Amino acid sequence: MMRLIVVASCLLVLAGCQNLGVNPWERDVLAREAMIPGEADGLDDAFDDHIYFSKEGSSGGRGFGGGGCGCN
Amino acid sequence: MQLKKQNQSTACAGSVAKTLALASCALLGVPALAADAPVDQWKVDGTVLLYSETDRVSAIEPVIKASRTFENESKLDLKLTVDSLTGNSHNGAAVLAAPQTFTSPSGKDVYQVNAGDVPLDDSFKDTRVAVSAQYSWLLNRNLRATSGLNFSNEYDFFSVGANAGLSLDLNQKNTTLSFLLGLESDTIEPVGGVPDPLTVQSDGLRVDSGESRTVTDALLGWTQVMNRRWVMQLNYNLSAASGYMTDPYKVVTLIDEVTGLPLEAEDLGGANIGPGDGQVYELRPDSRTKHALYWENRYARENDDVIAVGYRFMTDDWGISSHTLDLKYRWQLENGWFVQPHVRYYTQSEADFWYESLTEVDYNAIVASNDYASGDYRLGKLTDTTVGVKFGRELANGRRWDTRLEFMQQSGDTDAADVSAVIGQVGYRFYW
Repeated sequence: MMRLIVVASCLLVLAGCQNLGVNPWERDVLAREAMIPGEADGLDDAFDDHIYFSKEGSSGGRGFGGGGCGCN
Repeated sequence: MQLKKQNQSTACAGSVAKTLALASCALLGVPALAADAPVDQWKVDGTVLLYSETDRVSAIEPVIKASRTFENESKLDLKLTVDSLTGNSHNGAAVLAAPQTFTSPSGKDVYQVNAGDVPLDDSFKDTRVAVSAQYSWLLNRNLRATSGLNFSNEYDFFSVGANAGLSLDLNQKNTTLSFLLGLESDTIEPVGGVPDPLTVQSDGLRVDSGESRTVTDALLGWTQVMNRRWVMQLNYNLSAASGYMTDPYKVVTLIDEVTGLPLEAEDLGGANIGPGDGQVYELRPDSRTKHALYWENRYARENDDVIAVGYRFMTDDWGISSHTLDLKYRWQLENGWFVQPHVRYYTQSEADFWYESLTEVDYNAIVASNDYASGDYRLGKLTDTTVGVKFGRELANGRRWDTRLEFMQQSGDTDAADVSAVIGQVGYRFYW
């Protein structure tokens, strides 16, 4: 039953997404590097993930991995 | 204004598939290709990070990343990181109104910390070298595969990891669903060997020369173009770690429950190395499961400025829950200049086994029940605030330079958590 609800929810969300978005010829603004998650800030995201991974009790979400770290 | 016109015309010329490939690669944590990246040319990003904490750790981290997109829209990313750290690192002990004595990580030397000072180990010095390679390719018009390898090596730590994933474009490529799986194997060989957990540090007991752990990550992602100026990304990341999770260089202070002053090792049956030497090696659980939900929104204003809002919720079975809010505003100025202020706010609850210090009664109860204890402030209640600014300039032929300066302040339930740091960075990009 639970599986059915999850699948139905996913289909509902995807169906809803059909009303979102743009036509192919309307992507000028979205194609800018500053509008692309993960790419907009170059290497900053990787630096920040490494700094805060070593200074806080949390990590992940935006991506994962990155070569590990002893970080004592 | 010239640059804006140039950017827009370039963007319009880019294919839809290319644009969405960017979104999917970014989602996977794979370095994505730039919107105007020329095919069959290397895009090279060289950046140096300088990180300096007041009275504690300093680091210099040069990184070079080279990316190349081929005619068939496959893409290769190569990255080399060198991370050199030195300075004083908190050893886990409590800040108390009496002197305390510790052994160095190797167990061969002894050092003392004055009353009221944060216990810091000044022998912290390490160099990390990390390399990674990621390759992604189109399986068909709407399906992209990616796979990668990464290695990282320090004096006392070695890590090897591999990942593989798929991203699927739907709804005229306005929706991208992604799945990425990662496996990592770490080997830890602490200086002087692996300490016997929860035993008195002055005895220097060791159980082995090395330990290991494995980390499995799964990431589900959904990127959605909302309208012509708004894109959203939602990720769920499950991370399961198993093996040695303890920090071999950290201790927990035992205190007198009446006076609050440190106990003496000899009163606990240990060797006497100086005043306040009642310190025991920490112990953490040998598994950890983390769940992270990450939500990012990017909105371009009519004047080309971009607002970026990121939020992450993370929770794990150690009892830590955290919230992270990240705000950026990119002012697009004339002649390719841009200025980007940044604010980050982070707050976390403490792990179930975090103690600023332990009484002898608490310590005996933990040992008797095979429980865990750590005094590492990073597992305690913590609030971090970072503010800064980045600025730079887009130049001809895709070249770009940028620099950023940020200030971070940490605070928590212990004075050891009061850390302030400066983050400086200079970067340059060119095509070759």
